[in-house]
Amino acid sequence: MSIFPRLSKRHILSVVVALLAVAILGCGTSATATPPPETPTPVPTVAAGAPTDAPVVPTAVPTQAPSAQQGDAISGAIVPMQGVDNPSGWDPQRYGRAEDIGVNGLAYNQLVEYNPISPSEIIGDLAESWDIGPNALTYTFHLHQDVKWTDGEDFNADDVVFSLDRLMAPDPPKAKAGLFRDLVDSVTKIDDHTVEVKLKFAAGSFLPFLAVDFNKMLPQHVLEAGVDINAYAPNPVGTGPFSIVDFTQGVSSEYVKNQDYFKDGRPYFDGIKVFIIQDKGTEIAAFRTEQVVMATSAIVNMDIEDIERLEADGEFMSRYDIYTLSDAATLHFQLNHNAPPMDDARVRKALHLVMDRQEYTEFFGRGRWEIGTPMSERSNSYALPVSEILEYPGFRQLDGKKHPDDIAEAIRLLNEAGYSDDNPLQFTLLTANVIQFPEAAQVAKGNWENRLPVEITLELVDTATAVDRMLSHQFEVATFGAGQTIFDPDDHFRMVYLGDGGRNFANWSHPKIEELFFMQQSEPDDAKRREIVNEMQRLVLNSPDIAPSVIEYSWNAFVGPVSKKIRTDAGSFVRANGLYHALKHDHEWFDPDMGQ
Amino acid sequence: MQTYILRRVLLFVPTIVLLTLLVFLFLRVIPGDPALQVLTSGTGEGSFTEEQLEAVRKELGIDRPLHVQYGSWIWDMLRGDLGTSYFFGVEISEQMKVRLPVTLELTFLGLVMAFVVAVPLGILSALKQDTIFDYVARIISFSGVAIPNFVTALVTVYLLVKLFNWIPPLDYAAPWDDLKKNLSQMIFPSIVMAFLMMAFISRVARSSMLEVLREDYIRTARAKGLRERQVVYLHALRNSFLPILTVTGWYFGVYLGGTVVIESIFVLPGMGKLLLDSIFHRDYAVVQAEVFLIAVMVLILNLFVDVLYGWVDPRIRFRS
Repeated sequence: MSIFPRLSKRHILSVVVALLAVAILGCGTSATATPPPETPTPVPTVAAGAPTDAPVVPTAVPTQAPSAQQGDAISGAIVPMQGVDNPSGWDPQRYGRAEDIGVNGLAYNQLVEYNPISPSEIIGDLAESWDIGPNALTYTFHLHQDVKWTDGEDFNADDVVFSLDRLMAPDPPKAKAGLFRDLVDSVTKIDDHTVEVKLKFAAGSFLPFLAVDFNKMLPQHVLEAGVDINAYAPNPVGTGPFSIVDFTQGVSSEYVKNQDYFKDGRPYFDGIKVFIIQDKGTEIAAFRTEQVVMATSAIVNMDIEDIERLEADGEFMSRYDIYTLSDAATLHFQLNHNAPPMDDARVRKALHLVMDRQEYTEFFGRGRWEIGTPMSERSNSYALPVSEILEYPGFRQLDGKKHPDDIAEAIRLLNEAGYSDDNPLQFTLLTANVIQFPEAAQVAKGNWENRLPVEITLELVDTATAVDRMLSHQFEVATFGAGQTIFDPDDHFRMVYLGDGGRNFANWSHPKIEELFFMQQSEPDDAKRREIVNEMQRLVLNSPDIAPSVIEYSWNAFVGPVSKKIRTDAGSFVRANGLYHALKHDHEWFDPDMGQ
Repeated sequence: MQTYILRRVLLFVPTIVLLTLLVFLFLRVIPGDPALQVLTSGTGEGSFTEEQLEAVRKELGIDRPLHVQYGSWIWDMLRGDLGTSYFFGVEISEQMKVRLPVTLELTFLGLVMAFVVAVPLGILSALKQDTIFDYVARIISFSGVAIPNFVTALVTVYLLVKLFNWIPPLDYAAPWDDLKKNLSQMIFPSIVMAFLMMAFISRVARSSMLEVLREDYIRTARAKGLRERQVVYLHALRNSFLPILTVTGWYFGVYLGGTVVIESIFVLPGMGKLLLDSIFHRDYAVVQAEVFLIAVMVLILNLFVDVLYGWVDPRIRFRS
């Protein structure tokens, strides 16, 4: 036996040394953004289109391009960004998530866009300028004349007519085009570089919606030749700042700059590399080590608690800024009113009354979230003030706790509906296992079970199953959410409270609300419109006779870091106001000397 | 031996048929319609008609009777056509060209590291039974068994950031493109994988060696006056190797199926990540093709391990 201690030491030592050697070899330099290959040179910024305040009803004034703002832009760098999921496909008009448009939209442009450094303005993108006709019923867009598709063909008015018509056509289905169908009467080519859009009525939401990143202009000649732009193919034909060259599902995608981009000197990045990181720990590590310096959109996996830890880290904050996009989406419960027990309005009302939105938003949002309402006060000028809503049953509190009258009324309603401690209301709460849905379901279960004669079974499923069940109405109560595309009543309210709304899975509707909605949509007088919109909100939130099948409980903020090395004409990075705004990254540059 | 191999290869056929049937049916039994996923980007958002839904189902081929879908899939596989992803329109064979080498490399590196550490550890532990060395080795191996590999992976990432402000590069490089970068990406995920495998293999090595050391022929060898090194190396080690080989082969097969957690945490483009991603998207085509490939590889691997048995232990060879 005496020989083995010697041998074993040697063996163990050699193994350890070998492993260490390989590990040390492994610890190479980190793959941060490649420094710019050449000396930084000032690049003139693009002459943008015509700024317009987004939420205001357009008036018939000719617009003019603002003077270009001179910056110290640096060209170069392949910038590593984080993405949270694969895009659902490569046709930018089709899918409705920021994860989709944040990457498949890089190859294309809109007609107009939200100014990425002054987010409440709308400026020209492929349109150089536009005129608004009498009564705001006609928009005439004047297109840039020097724009080419990446295959060398000229971009012209035919492409715009084709793209807008395609957006409004039911086929192929599109997640974010419904509003155009309500608003647009016709799209006509005036000449090769002029397009006229006639509206059905003076719609304040038209231009803000047109500026959203989903509404891309597509190459007519390519689509008419039968090319399926939804299937992945490197170097798709577009006018946009970047072109995809590589895609590995679930892992990464790579983009190179369009050398012939029509905006002078842009884009500044040589390329973008997107890494799909779904694990929160890896995401934080990747930001800390600058393996990613920003996300493709405002969405990251970190929750507010993680952000607070990063904010407390001085070293991290010397290299990063934390940006908040408030009220970008709601989390809510869908109640299937088509089947018992949620077909009873008293049951729906009772659940609404005892929902403690303040508890939920405080616990998860840590002061950055707002209670769930049909419109968010912070971003939508048509929203009812939260101070008013907090007086309503279901929202009000007494001494910082749920108001006892609301609980008593909820119990009375359930008793009236035949439920009691001996015969509790029983239902299943379907929850997709993504983002905060499971936590929200737990909180709601506690809210309801602790205050009412209710027994809830939580059913945790993957998203595909949840969507399947909800679309086929095979659920009782479900947790879901809805993003806010534009800050107008035509958007989120429609999506959640109108019978054909994309986030109204049970297709609940009320004739009075539908009537008011379409009335406000075509009301040219802003003050009158505001009155109608207010009435609409009050009916949904505070009417004894109306019990919607959606209970919204929070407006969520998306909070995430962006490296100080990302610069814009405004100086540092500017977070857009909306989740689906200003996602082309053609105005940002990478300055390796910043945030050291 | 040739007859044995031929018989095993023939047994592949019913195994593959059964497995493909199971995968095919399981995918169709679980809720979630691929056509809905394609139409609504998995969020349920978007207006579409029943006709459009049917059109997508037709386009994907999932409107056909199940036996036709199954037959068509198997026929395509036999012709070497793995199909196309429902979602991204990407040829599955193209995806496999990228994914398979990553998973193979990760598995191979992990296995080599585990083997190199685990076998000496297990054997020494057996030879020094109930000494401090044995206790320490057992604690290490128990830790490997008890700690889930996602915890090990997360702690590894955490420590790398904390100690070196570094994590393996996210931008994958194939070994033939940039060996240094490739190793810097693969080494830590491999160590994480090796930790779990090492634990099991060393446990098996220890118990196997203990068992062999108590055999009569070992006592006889010692009684003949052979030196301890000869007893261990020439007689005990080889005989204790069969269970080690079994566990090692089993692990290789398991990890070929992908190491979802490790690939996700280290952002590696392996088979496991693709499989999970495709299951969530209900991308039947990718899931079926990948499971088919993995099954074939595992069967071949098992055959290889069985042949190795014969090489390690001539008694098996003679018996067969």
